[in-house]
Amino acid sequence: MRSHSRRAAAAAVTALALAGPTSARAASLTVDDTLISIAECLDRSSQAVTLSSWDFSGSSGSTIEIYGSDTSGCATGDTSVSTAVLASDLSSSRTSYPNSGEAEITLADVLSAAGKTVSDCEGTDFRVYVCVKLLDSSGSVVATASAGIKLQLERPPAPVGVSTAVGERALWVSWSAGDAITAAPAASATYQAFASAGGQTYASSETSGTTVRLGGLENGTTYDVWVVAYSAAGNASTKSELTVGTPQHVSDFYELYTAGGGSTSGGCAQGGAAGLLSLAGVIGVLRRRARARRRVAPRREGAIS
Amino acid sequence: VRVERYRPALDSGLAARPYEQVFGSDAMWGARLEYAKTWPRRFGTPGLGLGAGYMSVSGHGLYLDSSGTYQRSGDDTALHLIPVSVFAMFRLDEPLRRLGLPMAPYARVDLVHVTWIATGTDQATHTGGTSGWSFGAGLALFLDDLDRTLSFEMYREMGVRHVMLTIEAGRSFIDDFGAGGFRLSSDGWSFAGGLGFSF
Repeated sequence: MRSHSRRAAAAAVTALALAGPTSARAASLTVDDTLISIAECLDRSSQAVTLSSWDFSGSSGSTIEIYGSDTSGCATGDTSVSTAVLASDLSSSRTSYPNSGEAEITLADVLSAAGKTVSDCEGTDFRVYVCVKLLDSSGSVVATASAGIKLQLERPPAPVGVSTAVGERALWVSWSAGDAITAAPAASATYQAFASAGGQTYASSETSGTTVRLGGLENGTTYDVWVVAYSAAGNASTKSELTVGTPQHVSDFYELYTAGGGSTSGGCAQGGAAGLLSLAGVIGVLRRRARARRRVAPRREGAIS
Repeated sequence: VRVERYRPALDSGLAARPYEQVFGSDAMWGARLEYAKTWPRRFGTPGLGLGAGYMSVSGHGLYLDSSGTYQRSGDDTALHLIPVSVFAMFRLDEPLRRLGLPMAPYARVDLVHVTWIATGTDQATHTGGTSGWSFGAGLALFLDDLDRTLSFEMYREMGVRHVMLTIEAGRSFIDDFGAGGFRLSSDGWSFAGGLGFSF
């Protein structure tokens, strides 16, 4: 699937030991991006499912098939399980899918195999599974590797208690995590603050904390400010309640000191750095001399304090 | 190795008291590493040394509200100091050790150059340097007697003859020797504590 801008790329591994008819060897499968947001679910046809690697731990077979299912292991022949083939007749030496020139497996393919429809994208969280099965020459399953894909369809609660503090061409925005508004809200993983005035909206960088400096604003302009929370999958909460803030010119200590009549004349900034270097050199020389003397006359004395 | 607490007299002569406005009543905390060459004598131990350290204090910048009163902003501002010094010291240790007392009063005088760095959010960083002198007096408590075996091992393995716990009070006059400038003289007494190793 395409990496989602609101979270770090996920690369989760689901390792399962699943028994085929003739053996029960451990097998593993890695699927890129195993956490799906509402937006990705709705855009299912353009979300590629990449099986970056699998391993049958020495099992041998003739061909490989890839399945999608609503159940781990992608059982076939069980009417309570929705499973369908997504790719077949692959070489048993393969360890990933797709290779160059091969058709992509999309999230839509996996969801369809699992019996899910577009309406499921606005329900509660669920998992679907992708399986790679190693078959022998008679078509029997030798080993199965399975990986889960979680569809996180809940939204985090909107942040509360939003407040602002003045910054130089900036606003400091603080908030608290919101209260749950559904039975199973997604946890808030990151937040983003927004400020809007005169038809222009400014966004902060995303943060996992509860304070952020929203820069790039104009001093003296009053902005509407709000915060949005995002789940780990990237689902956005509703906006927090609006508050307002006005950036102002901020005087730092140096400015206040000089404005108040404080003098900064005299001295030399480079003197400190040169002094430090000289000090380090002298200490090194003295320590070497002290070591040499100790070997000859251990009663002599120096001190570090 | 010493940890020290010190408050610069930057508000001296300034009605607006900018240090107090920004940093409040906070003193600066810092650490310093010093090396001294000493010459033990029957009457005590004189020495000459070098030292360098770092200390800082941080607060929030101020803005004027609609009534013209300064208010605390969310932006940070800080003052960092890097003092480098040469010093002469005298420790009254040998006479007291002969009396069986595991402690020694000492005094010191330093020539100091302090590089200062003032920072503020979204604004330029300002740097400079101020020179001056300081004096201090303190007490060194010899820890050797607490564990003679460990003390012997430290001497044999690392050449450490004595380990001392020190406490010290002092004053500094860092104003380019009366020329003014960025006044980093201590506002009253400053205090330091440390651990000393004698080789």
